Amino acid sequence: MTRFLAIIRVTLLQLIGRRRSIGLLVLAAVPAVILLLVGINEAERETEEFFRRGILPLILGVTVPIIAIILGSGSLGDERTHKTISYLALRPIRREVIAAAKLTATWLASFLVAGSGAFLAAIALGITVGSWDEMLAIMIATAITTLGFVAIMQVVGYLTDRAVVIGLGYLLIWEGIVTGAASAVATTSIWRMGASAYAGIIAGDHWGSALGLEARVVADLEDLLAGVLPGVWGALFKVLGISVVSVVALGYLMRDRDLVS
Amino acid sequence: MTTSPAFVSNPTIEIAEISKWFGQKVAVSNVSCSFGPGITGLLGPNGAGKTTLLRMMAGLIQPSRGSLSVLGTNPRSDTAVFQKVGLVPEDDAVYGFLTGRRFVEYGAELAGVRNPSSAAAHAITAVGMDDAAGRRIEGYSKGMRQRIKVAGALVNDPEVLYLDEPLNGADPVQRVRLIELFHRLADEGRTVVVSSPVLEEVEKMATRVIAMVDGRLAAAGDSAAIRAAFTDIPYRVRIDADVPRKLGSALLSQDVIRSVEVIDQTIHVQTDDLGNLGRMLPSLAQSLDVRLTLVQPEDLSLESVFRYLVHGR
Repeated sequence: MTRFLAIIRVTLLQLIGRRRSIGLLVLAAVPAVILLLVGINEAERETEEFFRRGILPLILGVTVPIIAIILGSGSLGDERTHKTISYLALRPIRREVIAAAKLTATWLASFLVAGSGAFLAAIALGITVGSWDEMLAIMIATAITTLGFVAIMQVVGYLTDRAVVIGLGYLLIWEGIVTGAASAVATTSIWRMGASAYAGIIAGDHWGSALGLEARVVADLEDLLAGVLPGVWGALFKVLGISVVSVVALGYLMRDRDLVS
Repeated sequence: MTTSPAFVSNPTIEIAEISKWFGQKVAVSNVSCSFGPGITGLLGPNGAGKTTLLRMMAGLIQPSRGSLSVLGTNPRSDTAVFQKVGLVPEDDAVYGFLTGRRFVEYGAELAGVRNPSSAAAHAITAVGMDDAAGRRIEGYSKGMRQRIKVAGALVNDPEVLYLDEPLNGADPVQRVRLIELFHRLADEGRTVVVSSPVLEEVEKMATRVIAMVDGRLAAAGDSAAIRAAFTDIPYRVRIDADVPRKLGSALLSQDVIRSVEVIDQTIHVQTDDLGNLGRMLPSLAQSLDVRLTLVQPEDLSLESVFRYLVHGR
């Protein structure tokens, strides 16, 4: 446990506290600023709709993934590029433990940055619309989306120096275009797993029965999900599954491939 | 097999016909040798394959062919061996955002040392970094980085220590202290493998030397034998003079000269004894009334010396 925590502590310092964190925090705050500007000029109802149709996809589908892609790529990728990986790998620690500790730390760092932006957006929603009860749903959706992207990008970052470019390409093409256009593959979209958790918390048991939910809210959520069913636990299990695969894959890669080039 | 100077009788590291290639490039080719307690120098010019061999021994990279064992086990498959191994990498790779003390403590925590703070303090004192240990590594000089890397490698009290060009960037006083430290570690019965492209540096640290060139084992033995092999090599010297043929003929009769070749205004000589040639040449030129315009050793790089050892040319 000491080793696990030691890796987490150093990785957090490695990923946060650099100049790039300031840039990422600014990026994370953009949706909140846009929502505030819109909320000042629009009625509450329009602002609420704009939040679900514009701001939430912007947070879960753009800012959170970009932050997770950048930090996730650097998690083990930076250790390989800067050749500090020997300090980690030449220690009596199972490779899977290293991968799991790195994933935990990178998820925490990403959630700290991306979650700050999501938190600000939730506050902006509260200020402009007066609705504060969506904050929990927004934060959980952000946490789930962050974990999914970080788990994937940690592997990609270990394999290639061009992980950020590959990640952004994946975000644009697969997450942005393909899964939005083809509902059959929408369930594979990471950001929609987060959206599914959000919708699951907002809709609760009312989904499908249309009881207790306004029709316009249901319509907003259906558009957001693009065919994916709402549900926190389903989304959580999916990203946890991706995380386990990521840890196992990294453990194998660290054993089977050269640790430095 | 153990009669070869490449092998020791009580090995802690055994390497059998090991090769490593990266794509088309062969970095290490069919090397067999062993290492035991004490300091062994791994000598060779840049690109000889020293770092690749050290990285394979450390378990950082997988051999393409052959096998090796460290303390009786394969470091690629058994991470428990890292409890007893330390590495000072050649790269300037450190966590610049950590203080020196935190960096060494981190190594102790990862190694599972019982009291990381105390072990780190001990290792930092051993390399003489107490005063700077509270500062961030990014503000360190190259020599200080080297020393904190050595402290990081020592913190788990390793039985086997790999040092890849550990004196890089260290000033003369630090060099002496580090060499003393390595000798102390060897005297305690540890296996210390130290790589360097500089023969004089290796001689100061190691009693046994393994020389590599072009990825192959070029020579092995005690440092005196390696030094003797080096000094037996004929050196090529270029001499420019206003009457080259006259001087060339006179040089042929000198004992220290192996061969003379005159091309245009330039004389190319081969000698076993650079020092004697340097002392004799001015007086010979003066006696012949020949004006020397250039005297320059040719092909005197360490690489060329290694090539001679391997290829005889």
